[in-house]
Parts: sequence; C-alpha cells; structure tokens
Amino acid sequence: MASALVLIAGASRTERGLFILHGTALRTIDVLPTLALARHEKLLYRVIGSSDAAACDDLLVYDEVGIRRTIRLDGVAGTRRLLAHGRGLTLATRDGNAYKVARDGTMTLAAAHERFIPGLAEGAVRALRDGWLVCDADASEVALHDDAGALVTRTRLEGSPCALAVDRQRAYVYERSDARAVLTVLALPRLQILERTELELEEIEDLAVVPAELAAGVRIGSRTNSTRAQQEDQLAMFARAGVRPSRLWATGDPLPPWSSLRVRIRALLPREVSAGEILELPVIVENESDAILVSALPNPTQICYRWFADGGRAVDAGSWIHTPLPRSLVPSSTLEAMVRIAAPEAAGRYVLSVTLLQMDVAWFDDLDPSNATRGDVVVV
Amino acid sequence: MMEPDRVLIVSGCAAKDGGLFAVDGNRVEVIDRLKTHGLSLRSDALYRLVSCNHHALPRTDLFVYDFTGVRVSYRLDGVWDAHDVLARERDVLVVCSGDDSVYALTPDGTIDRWWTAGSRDGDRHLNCLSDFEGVVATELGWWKHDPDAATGRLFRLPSEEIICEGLSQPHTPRFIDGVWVVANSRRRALQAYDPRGTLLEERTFAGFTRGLEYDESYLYLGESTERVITANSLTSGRITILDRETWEVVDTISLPTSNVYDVVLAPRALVNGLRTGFRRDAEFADDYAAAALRAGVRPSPAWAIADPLPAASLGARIDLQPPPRRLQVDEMAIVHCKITNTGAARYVSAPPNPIVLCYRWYDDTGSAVGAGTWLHSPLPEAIGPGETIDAAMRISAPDRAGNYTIAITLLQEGVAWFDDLNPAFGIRAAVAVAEA
Repeated sequence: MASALVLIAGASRTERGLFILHGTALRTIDVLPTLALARHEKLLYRVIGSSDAAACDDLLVYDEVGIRRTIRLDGVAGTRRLLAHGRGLTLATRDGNAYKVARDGTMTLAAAHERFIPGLAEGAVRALRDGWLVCDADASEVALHDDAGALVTRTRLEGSPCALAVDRQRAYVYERSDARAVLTVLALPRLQILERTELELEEIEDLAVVPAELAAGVRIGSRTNSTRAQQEDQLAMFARAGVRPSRLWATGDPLPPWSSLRVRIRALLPREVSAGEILELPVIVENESDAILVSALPNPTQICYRWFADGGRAVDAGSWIHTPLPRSLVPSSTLEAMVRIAAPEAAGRYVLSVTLLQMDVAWFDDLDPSNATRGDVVVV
Repeated sequence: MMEPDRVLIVSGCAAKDGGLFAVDGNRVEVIDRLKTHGLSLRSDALYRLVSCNHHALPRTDLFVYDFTGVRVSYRLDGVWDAHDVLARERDVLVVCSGDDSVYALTPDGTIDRWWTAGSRDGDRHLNCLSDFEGVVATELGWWKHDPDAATGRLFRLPSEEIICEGLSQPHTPRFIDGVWVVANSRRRALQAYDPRGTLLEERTFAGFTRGLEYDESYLYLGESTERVITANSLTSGRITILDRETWEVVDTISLPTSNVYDVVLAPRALVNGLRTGFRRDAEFADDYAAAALRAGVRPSPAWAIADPLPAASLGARIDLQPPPRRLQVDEMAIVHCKITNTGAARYVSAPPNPIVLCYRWYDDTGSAVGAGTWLHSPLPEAIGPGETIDAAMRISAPDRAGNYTIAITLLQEGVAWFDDLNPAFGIRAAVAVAEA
C-alpha cells in the first residue's frame, strides 16, 4: 500500500466509524457512523448518519487543522455517495435523490442533468482529471469513462466493487465478498491490479485517499479550540464519575452556593486523650460532591476538627489545627491524610467532630452533619 | 415576568463555572458547561461564541443553533479571546479582544478582518457590539495598569465616532427607547446616555454589571461576582429584572455561574435545540455525552488538575522549529515547537498550578531581562509521560536592542521553571534584537 493514507468509513465486528490504513495496519479514528467521504484539494468532506431514521445527516469539513465547519443536512437522511469537485458538492441518497450543497451550506435538489453521470446513487464514482471512474457492483467491474461518458477501459474484480478512492496514480477499490472486506489497488489509467489486502472489517461504506497533513487534521477532529478541548476532557471525567460539575477546575475560590458539598470522613477517634496532647490520626476523606476539592488559595479547603463541650459549645476556637489536603481531591475519589489534632487544655467530656473546612467560607458539617465523623472523647 | 413563549438564554464566561443556561421564569437549566462569551439571536437562530484563549493557536468556535440543534458550526482561525458576536443580515461580526479587531464571517465560512484598532496585544480591550444605525462597540480603553480607570467608551465603528466616554470597563450597549443603555461594569452600574453622550440616568447594583436584554416591559441585567470576593459580594451571578421605564428592581434570579457575559431573549422552542446541540438521537447522545461534537476526540485519560509536582516528576525536551534569530524591539512573534514530556507525571495547563510553555530573556551579561512580562502559553492539550505534542507560543522581544539569549522551557506556575531543575529541560537560542 506504499505510504498512501487511506481513510475508510466502515464497520468492524465491534465498532462502526472512521478508520485509517497505515500500510496494512488499520487504526480507529472515531466511532461516528460514517456514510460517505470525498476529498477535493486540501479538504475532506465526511457525511455522518444517525440510527434514528427521522434524523438528518451531518456534513463535516476537515482541513489539516481539524474540523473547519459542520453543516447539518436538513431533509437529507441516508447519504449514499458524495462527490466533491470544482463546482461544489453533490450528494446522492439511498432514496435516489441528488442534492447540490452550496458553499454556504444551503442545499438544492439537483436536476437530472446535474447528476453528472447516470446511476450516481447506485454506484461509487470518483472524478479524475479528464474522466470518471465508476464501480459497477453488479458486473464486478471498475470502469474508466471519459468526460463525455464513453468507456475507456475496465477491469474485472473477484468481488463486487462498492466503494473507491483515487489519487493521481492509483485507485483503491473496496470489494465486497462473503468473507472479509478486501481493498484492491489499481494503477491508473490502465486499471491493472497491483495489490489486494484483506482488512479486519466486515463492511465498508466509503474510502478516501488523503495526504498525511489532511490525515493529521482528521485525527484532530473537533479538538481545534484547545480551550474548549480541555474543558471537554474535564467534563468527560466528571461524566465518567457520574457527576454534573458545579465547577470545572481545581480552584481555591469559594465553592459556589449551588455546589452539592458532600464528603465522607472516616477516622477511628480515640476515646480518651490527655489535655493539651497533639494527636496524629489517619483520616480518610471521600469526595461525594460535584467539585474538585483543593487546598489552594484564596480559600483553601482543609481537613479540620472542632471540639464541643456539653451543650454544644465550641471549645478552643482559633487553636484548631488545619491539615491541607495532600492533593486535589476529584469527585468520587478518596485520599488518606495524617491529621494533627490538639486536645483541649481542660479535662472533661467533649465531642470531637472531624470534617472539612473551606477557609472563610464554610465548615462542611455546618452544611450537613453527615459531612463529619463525630465521637465522644474524654480529656484527662 | 417574561412573555410565555420566551426564555432567557444566558452565557457564563468563567473558566471554572461558565456555560450556557436557560432561564424559564424562575427555573434555571444548565444546558452545558462550556464557557461562553457572546450570544446573538437572528431569525430564531442563536449564535454562540466559544472562545479560545490560546493566543498562539487561535481557533475560536461559533455554533449556530436552531430549534433542532446545531445547524452549522464554524472554526474561526486567527481569532482568540473573542468576546462578542453580532449576527447581521449578510454576515456575522465577531469581536476579538485579543487584538482589538472585529472580524466578519460570511455564510460560506470566509472570515476577514473588518476593523482593527491597531493597538498592540489587546490594549484597548474591545469587547461588545450592538447594531443601531450601524455598528456600535464598547472598549475598556487603556486600562491594564489601573482596572478602575475611567478610560472606557462607547463608539461607532468603523468611524470611531464617540458616543460617550469616561466609563469604567463598559459592556453590553443597547439602544432602548431612544437612549443608549450601557453597563458601566466596574462601577457596578447601569447608565443611560442620550445620543449626544449626556448621562441621563444611573443605577448601581451589587455585582459587576454585564449582559443586558429587554422586552416590552422589563430590562434583564446580568450581574457577576467581583474578582475579589468581599463580605458584601454576590456569591453567584444573577439576572436582575428591572422595570423598563423606572429601572426599579422587580425580581432577581440566581444563576449557577459566577460570571454572566451575555443575555438574550429567545423563543422557548430554541431551548430544545440548545439541549440537542450536535446530539441528534439517543445513541449519539449516549456515546457523546459531552457538550460538543466529538469527531476524532479521544478524551485525556486523567483529570486535569495541576497540583504542585515534585521536582523528580518534572522533565521535558523542547525542539524549536526553527528558532528565531532576529527580532525587533517589542516585536511579538509566534514560535512553533515540539514538547516531549520526559518526566513522570501528566502535564496540564489547569489550576491550581498550571504547567505552561514560557521563556526568559538573558542579556549578554547573563542577567534576566523583563521578568514579569514574559508571556505564558498554555499547552494545547495534556501531555502524558513520554508523549510529544506540537505547540506554539507567543514571545515578546525585549524593549531594548541588543544581543540576547532566549531560554524556552516549561514552567509550573508557583512551583518551578523546568530548566532551573536541569538545563536540558529547555532550549536556548541567541537572538539579535534590533531597533524597530
């Protein structure tokens, strides 16, 4: 296959989408159901479909940077073939219609004489510099016609040719057979068979040959706006955790009032301590909230505790030791920290509550008592 | 309050909690969490500006929604730090605050610079557009050294005819009932000026005022939290509804975002289109739960949190292509490079300690020059250990001619310059800086 980069819209046993062929190695680019491909000069046009019969198709336009435009093809469903040429785009649908797509995305039904050659909807067609290459699936042939439509030459194949792509010297033909998909390479313009390769695909919808720069743009896809792409990555992480984020990034700003601040604190609290003693206690914090908790300025979230005497009166406020989170704590994750706790100076019976505190914002257990672990402690 | 067939669409522009929101009565729906600046409604289509902060790889998105989803999307190459969008009959204007320019997008996707202030580095911070008898814009003016400076103004484009000036970070001009109503944001005010620029009315609010819409009876004003939170600050953004005639506050609606950028009244049916976005059916939505089209997307496999990394985890190789040899004083240049993560952690340009591409200038005595003015360029994507990415950075030449060395490396903000840990983690090049 030399160094040609062939894009394949098709389906393997496990996924349907867009694939790229490097030599004989097939790699998945994405799993959007792809109906048709066409390249013209430095652009690749790709039509994606939908499992919903009532939904319309979408046109994605790629350049070497990534997706340049998307156009929803209102009223068009089931695109079968796509032709890109100097006069614009023409697409044919499974129901036998053909549409012209203007540069501004508006579509018009193509008149019969604008369909370039008969049978556009039925056969795979690619424009050459001075003619047309046509797959005839029923006859198991690939045929070269001149601009006037006259047959120049044709080649018989083993399977049914159902999709094709061309570059200056070669044609790449998908042959449908009972077994795996076969990609056959033909030399232009005489259509001699150069190579046949079996692919790990069950079906191919369409093919396109692209230069390496354009293939790089196809791989980048919609990740062109790095600011948006980073947000999407982070949103995807929240989605995987089953959380709709109240905010996206690990900032030390006050957690917003719309946050769902839920944490689970686990620690084995002592029953008895000495007055004024400094304890070191392992504490496990699980973030069940919708934000990333972080001990960063200006309002760091830290592990802290409070002592309460009889009647719920807070004791020694201002002397409680704050323990920073050892790392940012993302939703649905857990960390363990060694927390230092100073026992009250006066002996007596107390309640110790270990929780999180966002400085100058809120104690988490004031928002919900279940955001703490509490226990009775005797100070001797 | 609102007409029954209308809803408010609100954009939030903060990186941490921005997005798109639909306000229906007192009910607020989060459409998605992609931070968004300007909105514009024309012929029942909503134009949404998703800005790009990467000045060296400027690729802003413009999404156009109708009742059934995103009808068309455009990539706006060369446009960064875009703030506002104005859909007109034949084109769409986009304000790029990054270079104080207005770009015109035609339906075929062609984008051309329509007007520029000619300032360097977005010094004037052109930000919002309106259209009444031509295009009207607001700008902050030469404000960077004093955020309180009253250097903002409202003026016509392209003539630069001033309507009013002496404003402090103005936004969102609207021509309502024969007067210009503008958010004088830094003063937390809404002001009305007659067409000759005479102040007619002013009212102050609790938050940073920005985003304004109106109907027959009411004004809908966006209020944002201040950048520095005080005891009296708003704790979230909100919409304040004012009587259109008296400007008396009628109601407030809290929003799940800190910074409101724009507000538009839209047909209720448009909300369905916003919810759908690029997702046209259930199968698609399940596979692509994120807000935007994800063709070709492979999300990063780790959370983007940039905790301070231990020195042992930091390592990089920078390959310039090709290095600059000559620059002029104060010249701004784009440098392309390849970055390889030779360390043991994932590098991301995200809070709280983002890892960015940066540089330092040294004069011929080896002294650092211009510290504090070196530009930080975010990484275009997260880099895992062993991975290499293409990146671009913007550099600003020293303000005096001479022979310099530029040292380009990664910086974890608040933690370390990588090349301080090991000179091999950066690259150095001699650059001759000449008078302009």
